[in-house]
Amino acid sequence: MTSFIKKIEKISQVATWCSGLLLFLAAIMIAFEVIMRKAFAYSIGGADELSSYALAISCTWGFSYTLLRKSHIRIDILYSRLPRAGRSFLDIGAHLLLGIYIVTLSYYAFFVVKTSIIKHSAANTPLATPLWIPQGIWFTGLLWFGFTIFIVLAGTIYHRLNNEHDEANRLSGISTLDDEIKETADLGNKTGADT
Amino acid sequence: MIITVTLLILLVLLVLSVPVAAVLIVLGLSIGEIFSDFPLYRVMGEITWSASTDFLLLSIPLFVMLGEILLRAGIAKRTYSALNKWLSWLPGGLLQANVGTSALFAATSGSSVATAATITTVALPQGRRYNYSEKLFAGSIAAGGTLGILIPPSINLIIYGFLTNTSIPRLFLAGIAPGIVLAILFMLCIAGACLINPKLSGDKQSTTWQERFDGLKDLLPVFVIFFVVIGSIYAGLATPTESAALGVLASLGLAFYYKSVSISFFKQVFEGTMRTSSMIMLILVSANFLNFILDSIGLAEMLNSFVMNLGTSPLNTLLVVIALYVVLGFFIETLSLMVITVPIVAPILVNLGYDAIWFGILLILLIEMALITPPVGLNLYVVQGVRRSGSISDVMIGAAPFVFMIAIMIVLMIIFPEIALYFTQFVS
Repeated sequence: MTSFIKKIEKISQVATWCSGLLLFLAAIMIAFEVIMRKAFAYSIGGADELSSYALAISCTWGFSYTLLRKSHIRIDILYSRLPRAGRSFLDIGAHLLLGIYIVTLSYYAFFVVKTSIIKHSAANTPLATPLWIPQGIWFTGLLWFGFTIFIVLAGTIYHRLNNEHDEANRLSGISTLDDEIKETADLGNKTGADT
Repeated sequence: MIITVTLLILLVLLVLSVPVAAVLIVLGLSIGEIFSDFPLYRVMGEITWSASTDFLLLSIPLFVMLGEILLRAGIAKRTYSALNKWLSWLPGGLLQANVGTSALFAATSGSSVATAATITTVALPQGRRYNYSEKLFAGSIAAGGTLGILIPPSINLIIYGFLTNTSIPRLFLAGIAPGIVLAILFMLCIAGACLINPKLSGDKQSTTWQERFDGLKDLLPVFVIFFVVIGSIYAGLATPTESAALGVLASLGLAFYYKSVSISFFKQVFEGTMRTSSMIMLILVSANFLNFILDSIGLAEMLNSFVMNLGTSPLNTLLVVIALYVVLGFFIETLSLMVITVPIVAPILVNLGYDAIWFGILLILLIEMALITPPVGLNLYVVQGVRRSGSISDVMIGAAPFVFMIAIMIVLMIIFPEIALYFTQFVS
């Protein structure tokens, strides 16, 4: 189970790097477009359209690593006051509802892609991008997110049934601010310039 | 009836620690099912796709990336040491540098957690070395970190603009003056406290003018970024998203200049950017769908007539709203607080004659206050987390004077709305 989740985490991490790279390239493209437009009155065109797709695609492909690193916001007023056994019930409920949301969204997102394919929809722009391409990649990212939620949910239930509360919590609990600070503080130490 | 049901579903799900994005959607779907005759859920795909490709929202991950690059290029540490040379003669010395660095650095960075954590890491050893009172020292960092969401570029202002359909350039412009005034209030507060009780301050450091001028080159990066991002918007060269892209390019240049760039640098930048922006985007597309449902069932009109029927004066309504935010701010994480309340509260106040831009800035001040008030003030915990000694209540006590300053700022904003609005008349 654990090694399987490790694999999913690795794939999600690579997907996150690619998503970040995509946004980075979008930023560079937009920046050059602005500079060219203002300095040389020359427009490459399409930078804003392509980068909008980059946003949609990078989001859905970034969701699952964000989930595995527990960065999707949950309120812990009640949670932090419960014993570990009680927490995993809330974890299961939380991931179940998130899962239902993403399955529902994927279902209707599928119709968006399907309609674009059937109608040969193209963007109403000079590029006339066939919409099913960006929509398809966006949709696959959603599916991967849904799959990740399912695995996290199954893993939590599995650990819960075996009374392995620590493992369950590590998989799906709310991240403590301590973990988060440790990461950033290390970073501040590591990358600060010498004074 | 609708309002009661909405609030009930909302509270139960939030308390059960369901991810905020899922709460918004479950809320939207159930309200749609109960109160509308149309199958509103069927357009979920289209609505989400169109929000996900909104060019304006692209500015959010780009501003996050800009901050990540600067953070990992070690700009914060350089800025701090340079500002310290310039501000150390003031009463409160390093404390002034804390506020100044936070204000400058947070102005270019997307994450308040990262900013506060970095500055605490950099500043705290200095504070201990020169025997500063640790309470006020920690409090000044926690409070200074909140300035970043008021001084542009601010991701919170972009989110407010997206949710209320107000102009981002005008919101940014409106944030500058209150941001500077608040930073000055913080600095006056420190100076006053240190003059009354010199023990709060630490040992004097002597700095020569030569050292000060040498430090200037370390202040340059932050000003360059600010000038590129904000300047390009107001010179009419770029939209907010384009200015964010220019900022990313400029910060990359700085990272190359400081020789921080490597493969692992990019991996860290991308990972940090995606973790923050995926989290924000999932909440935003969900909030966007909830807004669509609330619009369709006409909740805004219902609330408006409800408020009109109460017959309270606009000022009293505003005071109730402020009280509501102060109380909710004690308990709810700030981004969630914004996306849940803004679509409902902002239209009511605008309907009563308040300016939407002005309310945006007022809201940010309230959010800043929420960030440093216990029990859920995020910045307090960040600073305490890096300190790793003493008690969290030290930080809370140290931040208290700054909460008071923000309260004064809020009162000033109500009496003189021009503080925010004066400059906005210059952009269309």
